[in-house]
Amino acid sequence: MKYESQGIAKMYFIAALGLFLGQIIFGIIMGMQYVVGDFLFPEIPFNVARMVHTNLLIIWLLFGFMGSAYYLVPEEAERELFSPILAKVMFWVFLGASVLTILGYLLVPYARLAEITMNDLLPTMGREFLEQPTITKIGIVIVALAFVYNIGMTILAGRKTVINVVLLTGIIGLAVFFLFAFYNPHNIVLDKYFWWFVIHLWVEGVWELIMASLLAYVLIKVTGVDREVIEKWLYIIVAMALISGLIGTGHHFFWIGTPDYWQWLGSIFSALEPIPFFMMTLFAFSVVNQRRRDHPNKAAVLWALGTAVMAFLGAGVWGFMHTLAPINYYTHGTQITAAHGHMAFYGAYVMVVLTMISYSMPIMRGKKAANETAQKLEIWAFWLMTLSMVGLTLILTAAGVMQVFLQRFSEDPLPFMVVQDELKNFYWAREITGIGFLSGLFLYLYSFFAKGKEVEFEEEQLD
Amino acid sequence: MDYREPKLLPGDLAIWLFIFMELLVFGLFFIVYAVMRIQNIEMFNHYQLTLNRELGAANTLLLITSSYFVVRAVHAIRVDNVKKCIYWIYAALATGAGFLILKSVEYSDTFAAGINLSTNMFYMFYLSLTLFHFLHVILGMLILFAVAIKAQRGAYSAQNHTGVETGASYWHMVDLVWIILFPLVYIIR
Amino acid sequence: MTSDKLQLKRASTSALLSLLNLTILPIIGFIALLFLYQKTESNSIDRYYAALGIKTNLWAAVALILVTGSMFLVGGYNSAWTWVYVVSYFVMVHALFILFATWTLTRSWTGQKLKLSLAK
Repeated sequence: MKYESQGIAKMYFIAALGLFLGQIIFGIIMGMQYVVGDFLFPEIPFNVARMVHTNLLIIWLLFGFMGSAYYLVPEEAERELFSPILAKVMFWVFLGASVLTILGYLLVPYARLAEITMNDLLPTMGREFLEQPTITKIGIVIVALAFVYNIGMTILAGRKTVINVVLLTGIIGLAVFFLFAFYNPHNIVLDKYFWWFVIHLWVEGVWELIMASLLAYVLIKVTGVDREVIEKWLYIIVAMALISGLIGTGHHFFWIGTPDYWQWLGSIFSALEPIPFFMMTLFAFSVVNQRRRDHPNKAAVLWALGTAVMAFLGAGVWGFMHTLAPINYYTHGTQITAAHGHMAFYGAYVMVVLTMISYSMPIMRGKKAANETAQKLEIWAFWLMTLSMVGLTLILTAAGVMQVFLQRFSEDPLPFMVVQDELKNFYWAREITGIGFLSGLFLYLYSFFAKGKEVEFEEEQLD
Repeated sequence: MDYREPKLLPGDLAIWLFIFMELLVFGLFFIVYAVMRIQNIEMFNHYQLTLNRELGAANTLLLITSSYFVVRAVHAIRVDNVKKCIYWIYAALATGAGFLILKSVEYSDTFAAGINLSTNMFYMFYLSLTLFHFLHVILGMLILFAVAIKAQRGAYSAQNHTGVETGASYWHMVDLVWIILFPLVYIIR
Repeated sequence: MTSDKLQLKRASTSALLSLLNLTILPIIGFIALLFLYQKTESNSIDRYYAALGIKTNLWAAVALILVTGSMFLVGGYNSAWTWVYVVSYFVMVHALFILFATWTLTRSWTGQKLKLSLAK
C-alpha cells in the first residue's frame, strides 16, 4: 500500500461482503418460496424477501464501489485521500442507515414503515429497488455527495489519469441520477420513465464507467501493460457505453404507455449495448495476452478475466437476447428477464468488486498476494460461484422460454399461476444452483482466513 | 495490438475503432429507415416533400466546405505551419456552427408546425436521425476546439500531429454521415 | 512491409474474419476467410490462423445450424420443450464460440499460436 488512507477501503469491503452474504441468503429463501409458497410465512413474506434481496445487492455494491474508489484514487492521484475522517464517518452513517432500513423491512409491515418514516411529506417509497424510506434516500444522497466531494478533491489536487477521471465521472453520474428517485409523479407512466432514469442509467450507463475504470486499474497492476494502451481502450469503452446506453433506456419504454417511437429508438440503440461489454472482453483478453509479468496474485487475474467474460455473457448476450421490441413483446417481465438480471449483475458488478477486493485485500493486509492455500480456495470459490450462476441463468432462461410459450405464444395461452406450476421443476433446480452459489460464497469468505505457504515471486517485478 | 507500428490510417487507431462503431450505429439506423420506407413508401414520399431541401443542401455544402478546411489544417501542420493550422481549424468550426444554425432554423420551423417524434413514422425517423447527427456535429466541434487549443499551446508540429489527424478523421466521419443522410432522407424518392 | 509483418497481419485479419463471421457478417466473413487462406503458405502463422478460423466456423455451423435444426426436426415448432432447448442451447453455445474467437483474435495479435491456459 503506497498511501495510508487507501486502507479505509478495508472496512468498506468487509461491510460489502457481509451484506453480500445476507443478499444471497435472502435469495435462497425467496427461491424456496417460489416452490413452497408459505415457506417462512408470515415472518418473511415473499415481497419482503425480494425487497431485502435486491436492496442488499444495491447497498453492498455501493459499499464495494466506494471501497474500490478509496483504494484506487489515492494511488492514481498520487496523494493521500482528501479527508480520511470524512470517509470513515460516512462509512458508519451509511452502514447504520442500511442496517436500520433492512431491519425496518423485516420487522414492520411496509405500510407501517412508510408511516413511521413520514413518507407522506415527500412520497418516494413503493417502487422496485427504490423501496427505501425517504429519509434513507436522503441519507444515501448525503453519503454519495460526501463521497464525490472526497474523491473529487483528492483527484483535483493530485494526478489526473484517465482511470480516475472516468471513475469520478461515473460516481458523479451515480449521485446525480439517483436524484430522480425523489421525483414521484402521480401519472404512473411518467413515474416509470423517471424510475428507469435511475435504474437504467445506473446499470447501463454510469456504473459501466465505474466498472471499466476499476477493471482497467486492476489490469494495469497485474499485467504491467502500458498505461497508454489501457487508456485508449478505456476511451472507446466509455464512448460506446454512453452512445448505446443513454438512448438505449428506450428498451424499457416499449410497453408502459409511452409513444411508439421508443420501440425503434430502444431497439436500435440497445442492440448496440453489447458492444461496450464485448470491448471489455477484448480489452481484458488482449492485455492479459500481452502481459509483461506474472503477478503472484493469480486469483485477481482470474477475477478480472472472469468479470470481462461474465459481463459480456450476462449483460451483453443475455441482454441482447430480449432487447428487440418484437421479441420483447413476448418476453418482457418473464423469467428471461430474471435470468438476464442475475447474470448481468453478477458478471458485471459483483465480479468487478470482487476483483478489486481480490487484488487489494492482500495488499491492505501487508503482502502482495494471499498465500497459496488461500488463493487455491479463492479460485475454487470463483468457479463454484461462477458456474452456479451460469447454471442458474440457464435454468431461468429455460423456465422463461417455457413461460413465454405457455403463457403468451401458444394458441391457447394458460393463466400465469398455472404456468408457474408448470415451471416447478425449473425452480427446484434453480434453488440447487443457489445453494451451490452460497457454498461458493462461504468458501470465498473462508479463504481470507486460510493459512498456508506464501507465494514466491521476484519483488522488483512489481511496482 | 501495438499502437506504435507504422500506420495505415491517419490519427490514433482508437479513433478509428470509435468511428467504426459510430458508423455501425448510423448504418443500423439507415438500414431500419430504408426498410421502413419501403414498407410505407407513399407516406414517406408524401412527408418528404415537407422538408426544406434548400436548407438541407446548404448544410451539405457547409459540411463539405468544413471538411475541406480540416484537410487544409492537416496539410498546414504537416509542413509545420502551426498558425495556418489553427486558422483552418477555426474556419472549420465556423462552418460547423453555420450548420448548427441552419439546422436549428429548420427545426424551429418543424416544431412550430406542431411536429414531434410522435407525429408519424417519417418524422420520427427524420427527427431522431438528424438530432442524433446534430449531437455528433456538436461533439465533433468540441473535439476540433480541443485540438485548436492544444495547437495554440504548441502541442503539434510536423513530427507530432497525431492529435490533429485524429480530430480531422472524426470530423470527416460526421461529414460523411450527413452526405449519406441528406440524400437518403431529403431526396431519394 | 516485410514478409514477417505481412504474415502477422494476415494472421490477425484471419482471426478477425472468423469473429466477424460468427457475429455481424455471417457467410461474407467466411468467404473472405477462404480467399485469405489461399494467400497463405503452409507452416506459417497466417496459415495457422486462417485454418483455425475456418475450422472454428465449420464447427460453429455444425453446432449451431445443424444441431439446432435437428432439434426442430425432432421436436417440431409447436412444442414448448423444443424452444426451451433451442433458445438456451443456441444462445449459450453461440456465445462460447464468440468468446473463443475473441480469445483467438487477441492471441493472434501477440503473433503466437493459440493457447488456452494462462501459464507462460
